[in-house]
Amino acid sequence: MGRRLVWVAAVVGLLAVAGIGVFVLSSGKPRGCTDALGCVEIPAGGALRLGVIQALTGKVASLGLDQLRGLELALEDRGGKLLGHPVELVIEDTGCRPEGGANAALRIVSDPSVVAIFGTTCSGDAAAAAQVMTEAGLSMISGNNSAPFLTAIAGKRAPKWQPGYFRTASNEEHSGPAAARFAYEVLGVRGAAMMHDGDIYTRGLAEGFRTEFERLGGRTVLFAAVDKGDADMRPVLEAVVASKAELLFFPLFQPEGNYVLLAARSMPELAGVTLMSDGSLIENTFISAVGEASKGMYFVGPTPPQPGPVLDALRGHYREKYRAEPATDYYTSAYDAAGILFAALERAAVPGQNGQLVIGRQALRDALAATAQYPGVGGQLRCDSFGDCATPRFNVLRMDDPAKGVAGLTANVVYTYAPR
Amino acid sequence: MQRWPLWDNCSITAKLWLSFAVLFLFFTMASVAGFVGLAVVRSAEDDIVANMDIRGRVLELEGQLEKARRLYRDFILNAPLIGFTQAQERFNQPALAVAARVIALSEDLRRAIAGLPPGSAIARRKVDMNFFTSTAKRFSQTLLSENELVTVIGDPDTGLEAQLAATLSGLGACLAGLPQAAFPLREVDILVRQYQLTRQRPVMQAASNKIEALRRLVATEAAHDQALQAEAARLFESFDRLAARLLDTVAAMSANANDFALQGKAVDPISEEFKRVTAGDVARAKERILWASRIAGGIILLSALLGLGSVILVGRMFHMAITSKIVALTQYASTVRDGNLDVAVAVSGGDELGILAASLNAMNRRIRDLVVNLEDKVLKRTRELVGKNRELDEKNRVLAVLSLTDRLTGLCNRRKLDQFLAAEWRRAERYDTTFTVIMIDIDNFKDVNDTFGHGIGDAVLVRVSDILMVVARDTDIVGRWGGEEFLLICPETTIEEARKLAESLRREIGETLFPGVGHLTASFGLADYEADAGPAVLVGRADEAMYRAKESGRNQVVIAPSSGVGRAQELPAAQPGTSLPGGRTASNPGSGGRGDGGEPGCLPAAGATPLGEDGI
Repeated sequence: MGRRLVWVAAVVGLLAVAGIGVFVLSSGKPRGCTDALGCVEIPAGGALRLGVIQALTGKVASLGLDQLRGLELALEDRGGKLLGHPVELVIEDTGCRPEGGANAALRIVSDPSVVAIFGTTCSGDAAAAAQVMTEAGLSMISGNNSAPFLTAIAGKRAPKWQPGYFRTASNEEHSGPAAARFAYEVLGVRGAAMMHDGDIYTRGLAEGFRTEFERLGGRTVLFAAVDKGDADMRPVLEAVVASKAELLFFPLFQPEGNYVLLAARSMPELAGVTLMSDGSLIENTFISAVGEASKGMYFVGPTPPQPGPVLDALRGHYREKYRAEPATDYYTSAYDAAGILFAALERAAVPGQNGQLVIGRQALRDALAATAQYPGVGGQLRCDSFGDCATPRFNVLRMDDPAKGVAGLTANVVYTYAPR
Repeated sequence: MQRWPLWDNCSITAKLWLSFAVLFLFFTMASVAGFVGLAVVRSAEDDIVANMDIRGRVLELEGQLEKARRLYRDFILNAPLIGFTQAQERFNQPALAVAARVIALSEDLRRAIAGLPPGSAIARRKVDMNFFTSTAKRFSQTLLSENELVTVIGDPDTGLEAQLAATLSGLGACLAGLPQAAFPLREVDILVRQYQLTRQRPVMQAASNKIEALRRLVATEAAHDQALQAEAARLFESFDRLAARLLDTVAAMSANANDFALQGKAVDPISEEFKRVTAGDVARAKERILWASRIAGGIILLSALLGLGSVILVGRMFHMAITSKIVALTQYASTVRDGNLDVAVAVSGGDELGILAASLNAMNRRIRDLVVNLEDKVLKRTRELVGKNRELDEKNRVLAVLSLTDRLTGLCNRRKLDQFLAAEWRRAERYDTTFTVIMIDIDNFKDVNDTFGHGIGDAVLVRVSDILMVVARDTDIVGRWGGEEFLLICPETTIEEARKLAESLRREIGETLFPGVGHLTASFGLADYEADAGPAVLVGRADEAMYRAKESGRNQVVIAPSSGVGRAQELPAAQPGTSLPGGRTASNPGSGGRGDGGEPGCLPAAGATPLGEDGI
């Protein structure tokens, strides 16, 4: 009798243990991941890790910093949490170099707990980073990249397009044409020189300008290049002089853009040449660095968000948090990019019963691609199949008073181009 | 005394089970401790091996990366000195081989890390490890790309620099007829060489500007020479194209160099960290081994001590529970065997030995009771037996007397007389002594019976017996031969002495007044030992002498004549005339009397022939 009781107790105990195990396994762990690209599992209370790849050193650090700040502001609006999980940022610097982007992306994707990437600052970094990111099955969104090569050119997939890449900065496919139209139609320029630094962003802009300018009937008298890090711009400017260009379009970053401008201003032969750059130099640090030399210079850049309470609140938040003026308006697109990413994460994530979170990587890409009518700072945003989420609309600005800084410059719109 | 009632009341089997269970428990503890210790040590050794493996791979990968960088640097530095082809053979090709090795190593390392136990420090740094291996792979890819770019630029046959040099040479030949072009051309050549050293785009841009100037010069100065213009234009165009490609290629190489720098900057600290982490893991694993060894050793030692203690304890308890009880029981059994039943064995407990002890004590008590009762009974029976023996002896004695005496007279009966006769006869024969027998018969006794009845006759017989007993000597044997016949055996007595005795008897009888009867007489026949053939012969002779006395008138003593065989001689026959009426013998009247007052009987007196010689 006693032995029988022992057997019964042992069997009951085993069944209880098995039952508990089944319960724990069934309720404590999510069911197997069926996502084509795999899943990121975030344990209950665990941090949701986001990779941040920005140019945080060098002359463009201010742009990268504003991107990071836009992200931080968006995150702060959500109390620092997503889906109940604290958000942890894994930040890497690219130095605004493609190889920097590749290395940063390699480091980010080495961490399997990273859900998505917020970046980059420079399009050249983005091209390298996006390739690494795509191979790792992640998604990436930028508020600053604008090179057409990253998404689409003329309604077709661009060479550097990578699945999973999105951006809220306008595709500058239309930036070069906007500048070309302004030069040809408003300024009456018929011979123009273009200068880039080999980066796909600057090269894309210059080529966009050339294509549109030549289409309009203008003549490209020089299509020159400088290298990142070049300081002596006189030879290339001599070539500009020799080309008898009426306008020099040099969509360069700092400091090369600064050197070009300053060298040009020091060359009397170029006194009559119109100088035009792009949004990468629409920045207070540039204006401060070159000062009066920028006077009379044109800039082509995305139309800033329309003033309104949303923008005012965001700017106020920025000033309050960082005790500084935004260096550019790109923090707004960064804010929108972060918002779109957060919204997509909320749609893609599958919460478990015990507080854990499962995020399918393909599901996140799909959620990002399905973004439509997102209430951005400057209006509604919709992501197309190439990853462009912003409506292209560009202004040509003229610097009349460097003392007024970016605000004065962006307010001085001399031409607007909206292809659609 | 039950100090541990539960233990004391357990059966021996249960105690054995319990004891061996305790020993087995300690043995199991020691075994488990040893097993766990071994498992920990083995796990730690695996960790050490895995970490050392990882460390080795990291070191090799780092070394290969460094080697590839060094080879690439040497290639860049030595190419201008020893020539591109030789430099490529000596440095670039080995660098590419190392790069391929780096790719293989990084894959091996990735697999090795994937196989690490989750808890190890390296496994926790999987992110760094992934980055390290992917960067190493990327380094190799970058190096391959760099090799292509270097080849594009430096190949002595098809390289951009060679083509550029050829273009400049062609321009020199083409514009040889234009002296104004000589100096700009030399400037271009110098700028190109300067660019080859500095790789600064503005330098090449300056060269391009000079080419542009030359283009304008040719357009103005050689307007008439269409062929020269065409050739110059082709060469200018070639220069621009080659310069642009060279600039782009150099920019790509610069990006690669920057990439190398970034990779080194990113990877070097990681490899250092890996080495530090693996060293830490190894140190921790060694600590674990030390710790596990100490703990396991301590547990084994403790188990051994506890086991030893339990062995002693179990032995002690065994001794108390079993051995000491068996010894006590053995001693008890010996004591009981020796007859001491007044002991009890002091073994308590509810086990088999306790039960056995209680049973033995009970048995002993019962035996003791039985023994005590038996002794009482034996004593009683002995006493009864002694009484009975005495009674029996008395009865035997009486029976012996009865069996050897005549009931009526109390004299020896015929059987006894025969025994005496035989004994005396053998003695006389052996020692050559003499003895005499006297046969007595009451005269006319039949008349007494017939006249006075058998009662009176018996009284006469008793009275005659009394007379015989009184008169005969102590050493004489008096017996009733049968009827009214009596026999006297007179040891050591001559015939003469016997005749005198017979005479005394004859007179005493004759003088006695028998109540109711009056006086009576008796006839006597004597015979002494004469080496007769047997006692019966001797008695026969006495009986014959007695009959002669009868015949001679009764109341007389007749001595049997000698048989002539021995020394006995027949006395002269009694004179019948001397016999008196009434049976008195006239001759030898004073002989035969018994004057010592002794009382002869059937049982011999001292000195008489022992009865025991012939038995009764």
